[in-house]
Amino acid sequence: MPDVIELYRHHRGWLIAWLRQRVDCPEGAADLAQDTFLRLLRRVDPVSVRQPRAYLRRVAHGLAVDFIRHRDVERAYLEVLASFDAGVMPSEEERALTIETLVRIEAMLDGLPARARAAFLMSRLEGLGYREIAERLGVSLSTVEKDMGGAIRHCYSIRYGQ
Amino acid sequence: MTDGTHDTPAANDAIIDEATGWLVRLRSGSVKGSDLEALARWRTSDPAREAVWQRLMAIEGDFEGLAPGDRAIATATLDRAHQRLGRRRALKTLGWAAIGGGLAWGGAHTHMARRLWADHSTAVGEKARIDLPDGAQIRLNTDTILDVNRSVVHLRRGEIHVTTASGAAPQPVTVETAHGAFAPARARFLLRDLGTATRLSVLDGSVVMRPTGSATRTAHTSQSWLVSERRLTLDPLFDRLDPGAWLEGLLVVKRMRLGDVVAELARYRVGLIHVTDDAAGLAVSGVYRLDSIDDALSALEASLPVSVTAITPYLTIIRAA
Repeated sequence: MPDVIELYRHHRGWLIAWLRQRVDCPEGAADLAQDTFLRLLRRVDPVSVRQPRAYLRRVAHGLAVDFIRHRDVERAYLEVLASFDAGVMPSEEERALTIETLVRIEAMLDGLPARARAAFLMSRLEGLGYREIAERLGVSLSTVEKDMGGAIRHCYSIRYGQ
Repeated sequence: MTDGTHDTPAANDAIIDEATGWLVRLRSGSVKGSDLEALARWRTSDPAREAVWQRLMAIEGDFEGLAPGDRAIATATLDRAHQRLGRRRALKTLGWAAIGGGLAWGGAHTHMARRLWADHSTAVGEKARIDLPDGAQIRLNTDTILDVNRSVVHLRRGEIHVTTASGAAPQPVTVETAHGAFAPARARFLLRDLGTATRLSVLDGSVVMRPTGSATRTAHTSQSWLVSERRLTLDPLFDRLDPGAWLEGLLVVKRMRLGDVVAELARYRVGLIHVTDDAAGLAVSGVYRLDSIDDALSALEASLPVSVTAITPYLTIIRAA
C-alpha cells in the first residue's frame, strides 16, 4: 500500500513528536508511531490521505491511550504490591498476567460513573452481596441493583461495541 | 482492546438487557435454586440468548481469572490507576478522551476527535480565561471544554462566564450548547451544561435563548433558566446559590440541601464524594473555598451532624453521625 509508505516518509517525525508530548516517554513514542503505521498497513479500506495528520492522530491517539493505561496500571500494581507486604512475592510471569487482566478491567470500566464503578468492584473483587454494598455506600438495595445493571451493560458495550 | 473485538455479530438489544437482568440477580448474594432453573430455561430456549450469555461470562472471566490473593490488591490497584489516569486525562495528556480502547474503531471517532481537538479546556479544579478578538471575555470553570469559531462559541462540557464587549457597537457573540443557542445583548452571564439541559444564569443584562426545538425567549438580570431542547423552565437558583461565586473561588449557598452542596464541591476535585440518603436532605448555608475541597468538607463536618470518611483517595462518604 504505497499511501502508507508515503505517509510514513512525510509524517513520521511529526507523529513521534506529537506522541512524545502525550506519553512522556521517547522510546514509547517511537514504538507507538511504528504501531500506528503497522495498524494502517493492516487496514482493509484505503487510507484517507486528504488530511493525513488528522488521520494519523486519530489512530495514534487510541494506541497512546492504551499505552498510558497499561503503564499506569502496572505502576499502581507494583506500588500496591510493595505496600501490602505480602509473604510470597508473585513470579514475574504471574505479575504480568495479573497486570494484563487489570488493564483489561480498567479499560472496560472507563467512563462508568463512580458509584456504579465502586459498587461493581465491591461485588466482583470483594465478593460482597448487594445488601452489604448498599450498607457500605449508604444507598438503597434498588440503587445497587440499578448500578449493577448499568455496570454490566457498560462493560458489554465497551467490549462488544454495542 | 484491538479491532478484533468487533468481529462478533451484533446481538439484539432486548436480549442483552434480559441477560443483564439475569446476571444482576445471579450475583445478588441471595440467589435461589428456582432462579437458577429459570435462568437455565431462558438460556436454552434460544441460541441468540445463549450467545449473549456467553459474552457476559467472558467479561466475568476477567474478574474470576484473578488469583484470590490478587483480588485483595486489585481494588487498591484499580483505584490508584484510575485516579492517575483521571488526573492525566484532566491534564490533557490524553486529549480529554474518555474512551475504552475497544471503542477506538467502533464509531467513537467523531467523539474522540472532538475532545482531542477542542480549542480550550480546563482540568478538574482549574480555571481559565479567554479574550475573544471582538473584546468579549470568557472564563472557564472547572472541567470545561470549549470550541471557538470566530464569534460562535460552542460549550461542549462544563461551565463558562461570558462578558460581552463594552464598545459602542460590540460584535455579537453567540454561544451554542447541546440544547440551543444563546445570544446576549450587552450582558454578563453564566452557562452550564448539566447533561440533560443547559442552565443560563444572567448576572447583568439580557440574553436571548433559542432552544433547538422550541420558541425563542429572553432571559433578564438575576434570572436563571433551564433550557432543554423542547422546554424552557425558570429555575429559582438565585434563591439558594450565588452562581457566579466561583469567579472569586468561592461556593456561596443558602439553605441548600447537603447533597446538592456536596455535588457542587465535588466538581472541583477528582474522585467521588457520596452523601448517604439520611444526610443528603440536611440544609446548609455558608461560604466555602473551592481551592481546598477537603477543608470545605471538614467545615461541613464541624457544622452539621455528619461524619466524613475517606474510604479510598477516590471515594469519600458523608453520612449522618
